[in-house]
Amino acid sequence: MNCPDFNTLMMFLDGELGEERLKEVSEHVILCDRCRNLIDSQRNLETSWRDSFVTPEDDKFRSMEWYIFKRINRRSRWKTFVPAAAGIIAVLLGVKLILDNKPSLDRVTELSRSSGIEYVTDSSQFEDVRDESTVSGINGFDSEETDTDASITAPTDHVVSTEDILVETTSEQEGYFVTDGESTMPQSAMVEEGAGETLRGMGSLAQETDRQAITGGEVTTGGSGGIGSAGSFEYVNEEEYEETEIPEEIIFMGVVDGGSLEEQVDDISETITLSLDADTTGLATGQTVASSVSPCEEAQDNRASNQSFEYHSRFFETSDEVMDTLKEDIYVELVFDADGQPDSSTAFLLDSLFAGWSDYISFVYRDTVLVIPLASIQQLFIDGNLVPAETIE
Amino acid sequence: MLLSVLLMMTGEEENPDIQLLRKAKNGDRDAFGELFRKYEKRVFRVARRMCGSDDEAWDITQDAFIRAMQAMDRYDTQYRFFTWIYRITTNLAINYAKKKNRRREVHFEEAYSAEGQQVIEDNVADRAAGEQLLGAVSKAVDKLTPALKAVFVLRIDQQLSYSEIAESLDIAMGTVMSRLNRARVKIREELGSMLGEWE
Repeated sequence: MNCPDFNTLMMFLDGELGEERLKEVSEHVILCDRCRNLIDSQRNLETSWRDSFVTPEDDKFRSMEWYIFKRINRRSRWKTFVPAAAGIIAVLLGVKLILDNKPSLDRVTELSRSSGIEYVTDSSQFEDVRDESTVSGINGFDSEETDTDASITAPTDHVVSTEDILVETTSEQEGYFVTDGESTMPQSAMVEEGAGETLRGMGSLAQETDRQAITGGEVTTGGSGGIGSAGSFEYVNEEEYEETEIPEEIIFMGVVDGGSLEEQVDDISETITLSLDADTTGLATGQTVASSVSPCEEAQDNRASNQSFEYHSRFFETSDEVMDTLKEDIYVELVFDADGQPDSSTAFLLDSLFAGWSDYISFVYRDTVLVIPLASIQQLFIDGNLVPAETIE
Repeated sequence: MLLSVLLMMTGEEENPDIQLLRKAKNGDRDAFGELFRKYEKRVFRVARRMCGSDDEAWDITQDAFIRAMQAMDRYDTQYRFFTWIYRITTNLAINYAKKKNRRREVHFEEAYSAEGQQVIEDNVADRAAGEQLLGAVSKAVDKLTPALKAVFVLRIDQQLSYSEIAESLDIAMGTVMSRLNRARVKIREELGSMLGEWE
């Protein structure tokens, strides 16, 4: 018998030859050193390659298991919370305007129209829209009230309808879980008490689903001129609320342009640094990026003393080197609990956005540093392109 | 009884993975955990073998399971679950490769060149011949096209049979054989004299 061709010998190696052919080839290989050597060398080569694989440690799989399960579970329940999500966006938009010190009603109206939001006049209108399963929110605050102990009630005279701001999405918007370096860890474990204070009770949020309504709340500002955090949302119909399963989180996801992904950064503090100082209002302000390392804790310490934050991220201002790399789309995920409270990384991001601390924000995602221009995130709010992550397929 | 008959008709009774999948989809944490732990490392291995980095492999692994759960209703129960999850994984890996932006590719190529240089330096340093060969094999596998690599990975790394590969990739058995043969020939060509002469 002549030597079989290479393919036949490989099928022999794989055990995929038919019975008759297997017998022929086997008899040949026993007698033919050349074919036997070929088979042996191929077997050794492939075995070595297979055995060289190093499987990651088990805890990484456990973290991923937790995250995937939570995500899947979340997806199945998101729809009842679209209104809540939309309401939060409406509130955030209002907060943004307050903190920008240009919250004129005209401006609110203009932005709200551009993003498909209308605002209700007062809480009595919630009753009217409830039956139509319409999302209602209140917005339109007076900026001058943010620097005192004033309460902000938020009656304006528009009606909220938020569907438009929830529809824009693309197939590209799936998958990334961008948080603060502990991305595969349970979100709930990262939520610090006090995180998201700047959002709590910022105006009134009214939203209605089949079974539940959230409304109320008011803003009072901090004693030292910092952004206030008093007030909270309350449920209009507590009886109905008790019967309703509340999801653990409400997630928004959006894509911002002009971000950056730097791969395999072992120590972010060597790459992006910033020092933060408390200004007279009690808020930290961003300073120019320096070459020195500024640990996260420093920024933490500089925050108003009555707030407790634990961030794994940091702010920084524009530098030429960074600007050169900001060309990628970044997936942003904002996480709120059922009460509208952001998790720590979301609060961090929103703080920076609203307080205008700096131009960019960075997160660590596994070993990758994500750099996101705040202006782009801001634009997500204004454009209404920040959507509940669960809508993304 | 009727339920039992229906289960037999759909093949679910013989397919415990599908039962786990369905329970997981309905929020059964234990069921999901059992299913995930059964396949997690295999999926990760395939993803890692197919793509360029651990990070990508983790992302692909995550996406593969999420998509499997999402697309459960479209899963044809006549197929085995592992072939289905392999199919999702390899498709994701191939798509990932396509989406890689230029900058990343440049980085990868640079890293790749550095690795190649390292291999050469290692040769000079008289490191074990086996390690040299292994480095060269890895390099050769990485150079395969995604289609060839998928077949090679499923056969050599996962040790699937030809029919299982065909099912996993939704291709004909003949295609499996031809791709596997081409992959092996290309790898041997890359290795060249390191393998010795055989004509």
